[in-house]
Parts: sequence; structure tokens; C-alpha cells
Amino acid sequence: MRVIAIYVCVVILAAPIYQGVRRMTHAAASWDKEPITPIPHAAEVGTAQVRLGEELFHDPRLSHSNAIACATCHRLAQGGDDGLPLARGADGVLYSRNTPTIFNVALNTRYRWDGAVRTLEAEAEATLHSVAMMNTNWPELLTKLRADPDYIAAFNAAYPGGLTREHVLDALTAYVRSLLTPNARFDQYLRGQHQALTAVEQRGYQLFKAYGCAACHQGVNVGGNMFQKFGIFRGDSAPRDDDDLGRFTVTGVARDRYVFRVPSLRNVAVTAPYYHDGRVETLETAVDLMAKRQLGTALSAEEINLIVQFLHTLTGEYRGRSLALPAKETP
Amino acid sequence: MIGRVWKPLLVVAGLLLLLTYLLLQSKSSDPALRARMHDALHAFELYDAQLNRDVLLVRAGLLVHYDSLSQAIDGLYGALESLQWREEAVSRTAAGIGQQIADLATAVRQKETLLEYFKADNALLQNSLMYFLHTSHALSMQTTPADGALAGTLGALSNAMFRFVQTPQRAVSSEIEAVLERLPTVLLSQQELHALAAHGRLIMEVLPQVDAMLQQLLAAPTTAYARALRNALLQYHNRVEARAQTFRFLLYTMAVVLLAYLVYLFARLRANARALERTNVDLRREMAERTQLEHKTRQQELQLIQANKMTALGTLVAGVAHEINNPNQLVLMNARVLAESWSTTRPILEAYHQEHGDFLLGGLPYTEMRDTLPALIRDVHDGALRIERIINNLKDFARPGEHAGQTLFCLNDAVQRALTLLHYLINKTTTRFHVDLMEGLPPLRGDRQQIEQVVINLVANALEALPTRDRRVTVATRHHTAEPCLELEVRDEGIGIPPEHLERLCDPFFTTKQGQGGTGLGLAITYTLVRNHGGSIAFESTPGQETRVLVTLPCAIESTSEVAVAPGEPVGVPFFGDARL
Repeated sequence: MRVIAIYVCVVILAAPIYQGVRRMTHAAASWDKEPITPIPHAAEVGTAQVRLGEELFHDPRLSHSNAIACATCHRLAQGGDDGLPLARGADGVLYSRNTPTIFNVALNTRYRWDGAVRTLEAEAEATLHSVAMMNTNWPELLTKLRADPDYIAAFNAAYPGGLTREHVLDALTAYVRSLLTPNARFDQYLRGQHQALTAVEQRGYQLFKAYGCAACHQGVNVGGNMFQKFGIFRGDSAPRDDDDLGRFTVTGVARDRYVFRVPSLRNVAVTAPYYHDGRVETLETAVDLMAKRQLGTALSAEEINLIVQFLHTLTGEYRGRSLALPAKETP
Repeated sequence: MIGRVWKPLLVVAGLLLLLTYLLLQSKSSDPALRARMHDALHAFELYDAQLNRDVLLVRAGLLVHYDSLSQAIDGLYGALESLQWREEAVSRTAAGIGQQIADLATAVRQKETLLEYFKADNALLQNSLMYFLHTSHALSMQTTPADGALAGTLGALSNAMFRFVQTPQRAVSSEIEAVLERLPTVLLSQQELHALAAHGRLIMEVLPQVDAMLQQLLAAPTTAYARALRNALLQYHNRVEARAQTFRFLLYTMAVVLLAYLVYLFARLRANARALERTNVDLRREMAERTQLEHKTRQQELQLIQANKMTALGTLVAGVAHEINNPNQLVLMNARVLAESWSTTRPILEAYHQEHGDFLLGGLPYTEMRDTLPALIRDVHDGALRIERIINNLKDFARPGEHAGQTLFCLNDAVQRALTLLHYLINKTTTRFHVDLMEGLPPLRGDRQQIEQVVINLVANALEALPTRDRRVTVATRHHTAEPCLELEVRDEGIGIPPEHLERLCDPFFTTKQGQGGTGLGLAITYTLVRNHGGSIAFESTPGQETRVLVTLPCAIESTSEVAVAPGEPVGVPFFGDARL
């Protein structure tokens, strides 16, 4: 009698467990895992903080000499960068590295080429302070901003505490976080619209994965979330003394020599020149260099072309318009 | 005095301060803080678990990007920040927890560094694997039957690599190395083969590294530290709670002590108030006694003065009485002689009148004189008699003690005898005569007749004071055991005595009844008699309403059994009717 009761209990309890397990196994069994995920459509835009951040982003008073704004180097009408090999600061000081695009930075987990900065707020502050960039400081900046009654009013409206260091940073980062470029053709493809990519581009993507590019350029931002050594295979070019040591300058650890943040490949077609020192002007050259340095082999022109074709599909839309370089600069 | 006021105040204030301190100390650990730290730790452990899981998934190739790893790390940092932010509140009292949180932060940073290396190396590994597989596949597609050896080598290489990836063993590694050595070096696809060899070696180098790092990642102390921190927090909160419990108990104890002290103070206050009240009562009684004593002394003084006055008067009166009495006896005697002479002379004078008619006698016609002369002689006689009586009264006043007997008698008997004598006068004067005699009075020692005299004088005075017959007269006797003495009270609802007369009532010859033949000796004698018996006499009067005379007589010392009340003698007080004021 008791045995039967226990049996009934076991069956009653086991039924839902069995179903749950089946659901789980069913969900886990998926094919064709893609290393890249699409940019979410929803970005926070239009709030008071974001509008205020936009104003700050375009305000040259954020630099010491009132010469440049954030938007001076991060040109939103173009690729979100300055199109120059190396960054040029407010007071003409040349920075040793290339300006990355401002688009999709919210999707990065590390900032700067050497990944020295972990958060967007810290990055914004570091940029304001950097001699080679905005070259300002908080007392100076806050004094300038507070002289503007419009800012005072806007900050008072957007923040309970009014115009403070924290709120300036918050407004700036809120705006920068809104600078996403969703709806790239590749994202459409990832969302199931296979016709969004041509057959050539799809072959380029397969090659991109097959040659292991996607091992580093993965995630929602197609990179930007890890470090890798630049030059696994040195080939014929031995390291020079004046080579950028990359992350080593931050950590001082031997294995961080020539290690850089893997850059995002989003909008890569409109963010030339390439690499941390802007050494390469075209995508083809960049892909070729990557194959030689990271793969230890030379790709054929056709393969390079295929991959470049694919990379072009990563260009997204900002404010409903696909990012593009000015007509004169496009070849 | 100031100390006595301030001491309890200081004690109470001190106890209150102590209570406040204990109240502050008995606060439990902030439940919100506790919950937030718990939540932060919980989130930390979840993110840590997620990180470990995702690392495994990445290594297994089931997760092909690192975004979730970054999210997990961000989550860890977020939880850590939350912990560090809360830590401030805790570390003020528990320094160890701050250190543990710092350790945890270090562990997270180390784990992150390790993770970054893992990501880089794993990417390298995946890259090489991808390339290796892709290239070996491409090469095997390109091979012609002529290159059978190469195809076989490539197959063996792929097989060995597959086994190595499955379980990285040194034997397999050596095997792969051997195959790579055997690869032909002069071929069309020499570049691919070269790259293949390079990536193969890279795989063999990196794979064990990645696995070692994976082991390190999974063995990172974050989990253990988090658990230790949780335990420490739990202990800390328990300690705080225990401490709060202790202080709460102390709080309660202190409250009880305070209450007890207040009760003690209250009791002391009550005791003091009672003592004060008692002292007050004592004081008041003392004052009353003193007043009474003063009054008594005053009375005695007055009586002394009166007595002195009376003695002086008595001496004077005795002398005067003696001097008057002698000539008066001559007048009296001669008056009798004159009366006899007249009765003898009259027939002779009558016969002379018959013969010679009327003639002058002593300046008056005989016919007129013979009727007047006996009356004149009688007047002389009567006047002398009156003088004699007065003289006798004065003698009584001056030396009443001469007659005073020393027998024991009852006051009530004296009163009754006196009232019997006054029977007629009482009935004539009032319809409301009351006698109220106390039974079983102790005896008096002295002269009963004199006390009767006192009663007669007082009652006669009372009766005379009544304006109408319906007014009351009361005679009462009482015994005061406390003194011990007897009281005789005569009360009348008569016309009363004006206050200015009260002082002089007992003075000899003081009278308000001059017209009615009062001599002013009645009360003087009464006073003397009472004083002879060691007593006192007091008058109270409300004019127009009543008068109260109180005679106080000391009791005889002898016991009552000795009372042999003298048998009643007929009352023969000579000046009964004349004893008037």
C-alpha cells in the first residue's frame, strides 16, 4: 500500500521535472551559433540628460582654449572619428594614437587602445583632463559652464543638484550611450533576414569566421571587449624600439607587450585610417596586415575582397541614416 | 542645603544620561544596511557563478563571444562597489570586514586580469584551430592522388590534433610534433603548410595554457572570499545584535534603578512631610499649653491681687468695725434707756398737758412730740441695730476663717440646704428653676455653712437679675477628675453684667443696687468664703442674655469613704435677706 503511494507521489513530482528538463535540453540544442550579436534598437534618446549631454558634446568650452568640442574629433556626420591617423588635441598637442569612433562605445567594456579605462564616465573625465585632448580641469570647466545661464537652467531642470562635476559627466555619458548605430545590414542578416547580405558578403562572413577573425572580433560590438597581442606572427618585420608597447604601458606585465584592445569593427568602413597609430588607410590593407600579423599567412586578393565586402555590411544607422564618409573622401 | 537639593537632581540627571547612552547603544544593526549588503553579496555570488559558467562555455566552444563575460565582470564590480559603499557604515565598528572586502576586490581584479589573458589566449587558440581546420581541409581538397603521402600525413595530423584538443596529452603532442616534422617542405602549397605547422604548434602551446588558466579562473578565491565575507557579516550582525541585546537589558535595569530611586525619593519626601506635620502638631499643642498656662498664671495673678486687696480691705474693715462697734453699743444701750425713760415720763407729761394745756417740748408742741418721740427713739434703736449688723458682716468679711469648721461634707448637701432656705424666694421669682447635681461627688473639706452661704448669695443674685418669671435659673454641680476639683455653676438668663463691672464684682461696697438697700458686701463675702476653701470664682456674662458664675473648689484629699457628712443644721444665717449687692 505504502509502496504504491510513494510511487504515485514520485510520478506526480517527476512529471513536471521531466517536462522542464525536456524544455531545457530542447532550448540548448541550437545550431549555427554566431559570434556576433546585433545592436539593440532601443537606445535612450530624447531625455533631458541626453539633450544636455548633446549640447555639451558640441560645446568647445569643454576644451581649455575653447578651440575644440568633443564633436570636433568625433564627427557624428561621418564615422564618429576624426579621419586622421593620430589625434590632435585642443592645444595642438598630437596624441600618439588614433581617434576611435564615438559610435557604439557604450558596447565596449574597455576604453582607450590600451584599455586603461574601465568606465565611460572615467573615460570622459580622462579625455577632458588629457593635455593631448581637451586639456581642461574641473574648476575651469565648471566656471565656464556656470557663466552660462542656459546651462544653469538646463542642469537645474535635468538634475536635482544642478550643475556639478558628476552631472556634467552623467549628461555627457548619457548622450554618448545614446550614440548607437543599429540596423546595419549585417544586423538585419543576424536577425534572420538572409537576403540583407549578398552572396558575396555572406561568403566574406564565412571566411571571416573560418580564418578565426571572429575569435577576437566577436560580441555585439565585433570586438571592443578583449585584448590581443598585435602581431602573433611577426613575419619579416621585427619589432622596433619605437613601437607602441600598448597595454604594457598600463600594466607593466611582460606578456602585455604589444597587446592592444581589440577594436570594434562596427562601422569600420567609415572609420579609416586603421590601427592604433592609423598606419593603414584602406580596409584592404588593414585586412592584409591582420592576416599577416595575426594569422601568419597572406590572403589572396579575392579573399581580402570578400572579407572587406563583409566588413562594409557592418556600417549601421545613426538617426535613421546610414553612416557614410563625405563624397570627396570616398574613393 | 544646596547639596541636599542638588544631589538627587544630579543622580536623576546622571541616570537619564546613562539611559540615553544605553538607548543609543542598544540600536540593532540597520536592517536596510544588512539587507543591502546581503543583496550585494548575493549578486556578487551570482555573477561569480555566471562568470565561471560562461568561462566553461567559452572553453567548450558553446559560447562564441565574450560579451557575457564582460557583463559578469561588470556585475562583480557593481556588487563590489555596492559592498564598499555599504562597508563604510560597517567598518566603523568592524575593521575586519573592510579588510575582507578589500581582499575580495583584489581577488576580483586578479580574476579579471586572468580572464583577460584567458580571453586573449582562448581567442588565439580558437583562431588557430579555425585556421588549422580550415587549412587542413583546404589542403586535403587540393591534394591529388599523386600526393597520397601528403593526404595521409594530413589525415594523421588532423586525427592527432583532434585527440589533442579533446584531451591535451604530452604523448599526443609529441606525435603531432613528429607529423609536423615530416611535412614536406617543397610543394606548391608550401606557404599553407608552413602556416599549418605554425598554428599546430601554437595550438599545442596555447591549449595547455588556456586550460591552466581556466583551472585558475575556476579556483579563483572570489567564491571563497565571498562566502567568508558573508560569514563575517553574519557574525558581525550577530555580534551587534547581541551587544544591542545586552544594552537593552542594561537599559531595562537602569530604568528599574531610576524608578527605584524615584520611589525612594518619594518615600523620603513622604516621611519628611509626615515628620513636619508631627512637629507642627506638637508645636501647636505646645503653644496652646503655653497660652493656657499664661492664662492660668494671669488668673492666679489677678486672684492674688484680689486676695491682697481683700486682705488689706479686711484689715481696714476689721479696724473700722471695731471702732464703730463700741460707740454703736452705747447708742443701742442708750436708746433702750431712752425708750424706758420715755414710757416712764409720758404719764407725767400727759397729766401736765391735761392741766396746762399744750406746751413746747424740744421746740415742738407736746401733742405732736408725744407721737413722734417713740418713733425717733425706735429709729435710733433700729439704726444702731443696723449698724451692728453691718459691723458683724464686716467682721465676717474680714475674718470669716474664725468660724470656719474643718469637716468633710458633700457639696450637693450644701446646695440642697441652701435651696431649701431660698424656696420661697425661688418660687416667687421664677417658674423655671433647674437643679442638676452630679451623683457621687467627692467630699469637700471646710465649713458647710459657709458654702451654703456662698450658694445662697449666688442664687439670690441670680434670681434678682431675672427681669421676668419665665426666665431660667440653673444650679449645677460637677466633678473634674483631672484637677481634681468640684464645680458649682449658677446660671441665669437675667439681665447680665456689663463687661466693665466684671472686674470689680467682688470688691467690697461695689453695688449697683444702692437704691434697693444693697451694701456691696455680698459677693465680697462670697469671694472670701470661697477663697477660704482654697477655691476660686469666675464670672462670665452676656449682657441681656445670661450670666454664668463658676465656683471651683478643690476636693478633699481624703478618700470618699471618710465622708461623714455632718447632719444638717438649721440654717441660721443672720444676714440672709441682706446679703445683696
